[in-house]
Amino acid sequence: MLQLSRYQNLFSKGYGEIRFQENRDLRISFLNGQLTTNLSQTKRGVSARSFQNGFWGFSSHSVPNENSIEKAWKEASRNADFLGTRGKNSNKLTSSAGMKVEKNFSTKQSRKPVSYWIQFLQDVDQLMKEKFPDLVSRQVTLAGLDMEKNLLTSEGSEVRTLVPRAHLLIQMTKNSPRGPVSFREILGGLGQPEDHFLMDAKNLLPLLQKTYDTVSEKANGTQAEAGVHEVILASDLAGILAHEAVGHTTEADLVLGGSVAGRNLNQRVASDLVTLVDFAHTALGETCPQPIYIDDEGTQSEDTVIIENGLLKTFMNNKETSHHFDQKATGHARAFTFSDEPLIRMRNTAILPGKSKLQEMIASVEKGYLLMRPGNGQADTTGEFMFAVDMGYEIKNGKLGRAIQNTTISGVAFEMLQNVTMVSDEFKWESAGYCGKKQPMPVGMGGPSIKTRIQIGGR
Amino acid sequence: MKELAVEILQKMKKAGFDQSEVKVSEDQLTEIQIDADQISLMRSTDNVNLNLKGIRNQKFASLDVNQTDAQSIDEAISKLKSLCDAAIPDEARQLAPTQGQLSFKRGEFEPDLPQMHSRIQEFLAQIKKNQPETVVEQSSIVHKVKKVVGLNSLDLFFEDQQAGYGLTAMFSSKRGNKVSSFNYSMADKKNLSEPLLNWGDMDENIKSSLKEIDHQPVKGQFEGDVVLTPGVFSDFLGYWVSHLGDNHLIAGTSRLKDKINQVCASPLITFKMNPQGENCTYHDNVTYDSYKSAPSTVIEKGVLKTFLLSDYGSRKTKLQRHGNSSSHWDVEAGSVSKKELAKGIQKGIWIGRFSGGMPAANGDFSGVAKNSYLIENGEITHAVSEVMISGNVFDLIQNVSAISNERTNYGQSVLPWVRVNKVKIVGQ
Repeated sequence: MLQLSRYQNLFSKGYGEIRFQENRDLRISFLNGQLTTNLSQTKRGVSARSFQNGFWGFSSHSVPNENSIEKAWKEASRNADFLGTRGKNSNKLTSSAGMKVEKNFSTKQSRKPVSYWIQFLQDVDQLMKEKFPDLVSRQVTLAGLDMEKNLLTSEGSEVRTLVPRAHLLIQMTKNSPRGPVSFREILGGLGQPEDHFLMDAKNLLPLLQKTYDTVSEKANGTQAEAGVHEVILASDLAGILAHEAVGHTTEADLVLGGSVAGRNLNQRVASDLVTLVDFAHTALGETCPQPIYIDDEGTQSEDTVIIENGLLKTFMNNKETSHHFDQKATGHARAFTFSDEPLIRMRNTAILPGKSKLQEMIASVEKGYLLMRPGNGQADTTGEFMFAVDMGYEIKNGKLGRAIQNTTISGVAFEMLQNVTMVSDEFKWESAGYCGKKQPMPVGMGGPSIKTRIQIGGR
Repeated sequence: MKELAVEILQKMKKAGFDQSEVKVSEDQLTEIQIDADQISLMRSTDNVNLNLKGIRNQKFASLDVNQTDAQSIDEAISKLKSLCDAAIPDEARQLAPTQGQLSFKRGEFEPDLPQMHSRIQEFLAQIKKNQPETVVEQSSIVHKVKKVVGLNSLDLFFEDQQAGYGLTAMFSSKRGNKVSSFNYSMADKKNLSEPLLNWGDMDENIKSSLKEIDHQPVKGQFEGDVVLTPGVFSDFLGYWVSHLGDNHLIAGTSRLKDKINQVCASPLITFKMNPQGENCTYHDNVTYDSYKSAPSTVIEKGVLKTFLLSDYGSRKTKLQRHGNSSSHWDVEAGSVSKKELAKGIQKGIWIGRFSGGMPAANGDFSGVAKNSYLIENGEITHAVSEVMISGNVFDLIQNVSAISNERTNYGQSVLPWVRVNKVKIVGQ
């Protein structure tokens, strides 16, 4: 990593930052026993961003050396100047205290070569082939992303972080009378592959069996009945609910764009059972899936309590929107690669657990669904959200019934949250998600099980 | 770039690869961004990428790095060798053969910065003047230069240099406490000769945003006909097309396997891939696996004419390799105006954007109709909210019952509006 502190004297006017970043991707995938992906990618470079007279200038170069750092800073300043000479902008920034932070979440285990992981995946594939010969297709993938950043700001913040994550994805596809049906299980989280998967492939047998049982249940399952239903959104789903339904509408840049959250500050937007927090790095006594101690503007990251006992308390801000809304900046500005500018992003968004037991919640539903696994999702300025559900069960007279096949649910966030009548006492993080908002970004999403009413797409 | 590629290829040959390939690419980007109706940021980036592919003892691996100094290149080659040695032998892994000296050049390579700024100011001013209730959210105009040189040990050589402009705009409209769903529009152009509102479906979508402030739920559930705007049609066609590619065909999960020369779509649909179409800002001159692109007809009057397999997919499945990996789609225009598409629909939805879950492996889908309108007795009545639609993608493509004679040119794809029968519509 470069020593950036010696470039402090480059900052002459306005606010500025220089960031060196390296993203390292590893992806290995077996499809029906064939090694279809064996890929390594490294993206390294330096960027500079300058704020002058209400405008931002940004520049990046992929070869990080003394010349390119100075060049990037000059170009960033020139870009801000270009806009400044052609228009006026009164935007201002909240200032932050300079901080020095160093966090490294790389594995403490000795690193294994790619050949080790290829053999591990091949063993997992072979187990699936032997145990479950009726699968139409089986796929096992190892995906790793190390994100290493070194930031220097004109306010004196100097940051070095390495936040890796690693996941094992197991997908099985089985034929059904309605065509092929798939189910995917994901393991892993914060850390490198050695932190999660140093094991004999046979140790995964219980999980493989569970995945097979689930895809078999889906293959024999039914389609959900379309319409508004009473549902239990299981803890696997609560995180994406927090992220899509509420999180995006409270990102301050989307509030400026007209999001419905803008007119609901300090208003009741949810049942008093609902408290929703975007955690910075530690939640419920444990490190979050995406621990952020300081953001890419050098602002110290703090937990952002977005909804407290049903009341909307604040938005998620960067330095600029923090000044605009007169709200505290709590470290939400993040960039995906060296050549990306920081945007307002969620970190680890979660609904806090309540007091109900999941079994009591299921027993309380006369006719409805237990919805269990999230797929992709999308938010809207109106608060109307949707996300895909890859697995669930009918509930009839308080008991679980047939499995359901893939469906999509939707609702208006602040209406749906006001209908929450029970919140369970368990809590689960989902750590494999990427949020899409101009740039992709790894995020954590978590929560308990929630009972509410929601619109289901189906037959 | 060529000298660097030659140097890397020589090093790879010396390192003991049986077959090796290198692509050196350089991208330059200049962007002016809007945030909440204001020009906010100007961004310029340049990036180099080296894509190395190697085969040793029928073992294949691929690696990307973006550093070009000698030490980084040596490390990359050494790492690629380790990746290869760790791989499983697979005789289907082959590199593209020589196809002569392929050279392509297209576009304006210097960004016209003053004109970019003028056009985006004009864009904001026109929207504020015509519909002050509309907010332009995170949006940008961008100039891109993409250069790539490809060489391999089978005497492949190509160089491709292209440049153009791209526009992405996201917007919503607000009146009092009412707000429309956000919508977006994207298009590419070779130059800045036209106002940005004229690009793709920009003007139409922005004007619609205003009408969508006053949205109302639809009551009940019914099976109805829907009209898909070109962007929504593209979403569904995209999923359908994925069943023609490597993953589904190698896995054996494609719903379209064994369907060549069979009717798989509405007989009204003729769908071509046009990698070097005159309408396209950028040309897809070379496939991802380094073959010179050739145009293709995917669907001719409803009949499936080709799969979209790569060279690897072709060898694995023993089916024919497709001639391009292009995103330039061209669906032939139909015979009725888009206004007429709504005629004859007793009750249905005009779908401006589809926010849905990824369809299931069998093609079943469901999702929310956004920026959409109720059609009653052949007339578009009002904007709707909280309406879900569901069906099966393969049925949907079969059930296209009319295609508009107007098409939208996005600067890469050219697509019409379509009417689809028998879609499940679920309101409140």
